[in-house]
Amino acid sequence: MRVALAVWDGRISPVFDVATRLRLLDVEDGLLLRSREVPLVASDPASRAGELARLGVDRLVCGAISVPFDAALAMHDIDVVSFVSGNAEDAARACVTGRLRRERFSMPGCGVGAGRRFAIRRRHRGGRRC
Amino acid sequence: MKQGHPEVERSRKSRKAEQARGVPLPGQTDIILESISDGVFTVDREWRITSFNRAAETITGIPRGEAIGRRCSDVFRCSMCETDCALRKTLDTGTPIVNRSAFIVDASGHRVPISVSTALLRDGRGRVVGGAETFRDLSVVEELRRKLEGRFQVGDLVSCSASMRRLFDILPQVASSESTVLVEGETGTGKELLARAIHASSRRRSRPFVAVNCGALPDTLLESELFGYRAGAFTGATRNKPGRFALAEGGTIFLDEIGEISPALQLRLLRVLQERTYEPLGATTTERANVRVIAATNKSLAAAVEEGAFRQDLFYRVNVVRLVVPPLRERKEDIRLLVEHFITRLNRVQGRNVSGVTAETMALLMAHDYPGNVRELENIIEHGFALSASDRIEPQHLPSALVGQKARPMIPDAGRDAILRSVEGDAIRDALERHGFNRLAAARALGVHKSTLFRRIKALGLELPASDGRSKGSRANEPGEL
Repeated sequence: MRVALAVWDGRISPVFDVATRLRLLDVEDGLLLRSREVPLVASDPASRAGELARLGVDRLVCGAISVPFDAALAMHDIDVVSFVSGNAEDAARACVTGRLRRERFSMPGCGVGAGRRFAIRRRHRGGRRC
Repeated sequence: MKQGHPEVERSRKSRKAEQARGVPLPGQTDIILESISDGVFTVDREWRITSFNRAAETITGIPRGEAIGRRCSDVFRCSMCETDCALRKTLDTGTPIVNRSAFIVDASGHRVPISVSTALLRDGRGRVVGGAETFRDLSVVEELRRKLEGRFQVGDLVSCSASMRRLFDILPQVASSESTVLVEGETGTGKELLARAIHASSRRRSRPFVAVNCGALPDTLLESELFGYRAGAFTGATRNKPGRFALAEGGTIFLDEIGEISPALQLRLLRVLQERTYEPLGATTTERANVRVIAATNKSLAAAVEEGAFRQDLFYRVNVVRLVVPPLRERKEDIRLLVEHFITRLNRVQGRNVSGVTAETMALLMAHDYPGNVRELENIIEHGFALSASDRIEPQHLPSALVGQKARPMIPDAGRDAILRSVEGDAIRDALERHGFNRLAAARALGVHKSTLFRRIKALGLELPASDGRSKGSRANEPGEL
């Protein structure tokens, strides 16, 4: 499975809509096979989702994401783990070991019972989950 | 009377003096911050939130208790955080920022437009210990501004023209009707954007929207792309592959350039629309298609039917609801709005602060006919944005073809200024002719105040008919009008 983390300054980028870099992790059975960073160029929802699809991303881990961008990613069958915050390295490690759902990675105001937040929208199943 | 410690006495006297001058006590400052409708928060040098007023809680939806101590960008979630943080700039340069526009994303995924101002926080010795940011929710202002401008936005389509408004008005009914839709319009007019807007307003919006450009693939590939194939269907088909109809299941499929498909494929498509079933290549079973079809063409399908190039029965199945997107040259009043829309988006993406285009640039943009429509205008603005180093896009930043194309032949040796005056004159004459010489309507279409239009007409020495094109019964001229 290929997981993309929207990153900035060593942390999860706070707003996916304007994020400029992705860390791509190729994960299989709890093992990190490959990690690299790439720029994220497209700006509008459809193009941005298309760019992630072309990169072969199965799951996106990001900070705040607005509805049009989330919907565009859904059209490309890309899972989204949103409203995530924290150190990018820690989040990547948690992703590989399947421990990203912990409260420590949720953005303020986005905890359990706070509605849509820290949402994990799954469109398909495959590989180890974050 | 017993006196207190000297330092305490001096402090008490100092506070009394300040009170007498109207300076609020520390506790009163908190009361003031809690009573205002602008959000205010402060950060330390580590970018951790140190205070968060009531309005900040309301606008962001984040309780104070969850904000204090957290990283500013994780709480505020602003479009400027990553590339153009106003507070970072203030801390670096010492210069406050006032009223910078941006947006934040709340916990429901909604964008809230805001304006931001910043200030430095200093300790008693004048050392910078952090920053303060004030932000105002502009949602209501934005809504009012759109209404005042007569601007409409559906999805990524923006317009203030009557012809597009008619389209936007019927969009909700079209979206909810489930009918097959045919969108006709020249290249670059936004047919796919309209289709996406229909999908996003329909009950299928949480399901996929799948776009297929029928003109981009040869027929054999298009068939397998649309309907998929089973392993072994042909050489190289080593596994099953779902087609676009399968990927769009429950949602919407957008068939662009439908006029380009072959007669054989037209027949297969007709069956899908009639019976809502299809067979993947090499399949022995039939698949059901719960997919809404939106088709698009930049030609006249009716003419293609008459020429025998398009099946009449398929045309009737596709042409249930027909929407026509007008070309940009027929709604030039949208140019100003679209230019503003593209520049705002480019500013956001590239972290710049280009304020707009000069009047001469707008005149050039208004004079062009846009065979490539909105997409062409977008490319032109992006070109100008990339070349402009200042805060406005000037004529020399535009593609050379745009400037050179409009030079009047009767001024073969004209310098740059004469060419621009000529182009500006053409744009004004064109707007006046399109609006029956109604000066007010022409000024609105050109995006200028009518007094500016009068000044330019006079400066350019343009000769116009005496009547101003307004309806009968109104005064022919108001004082100061030409």
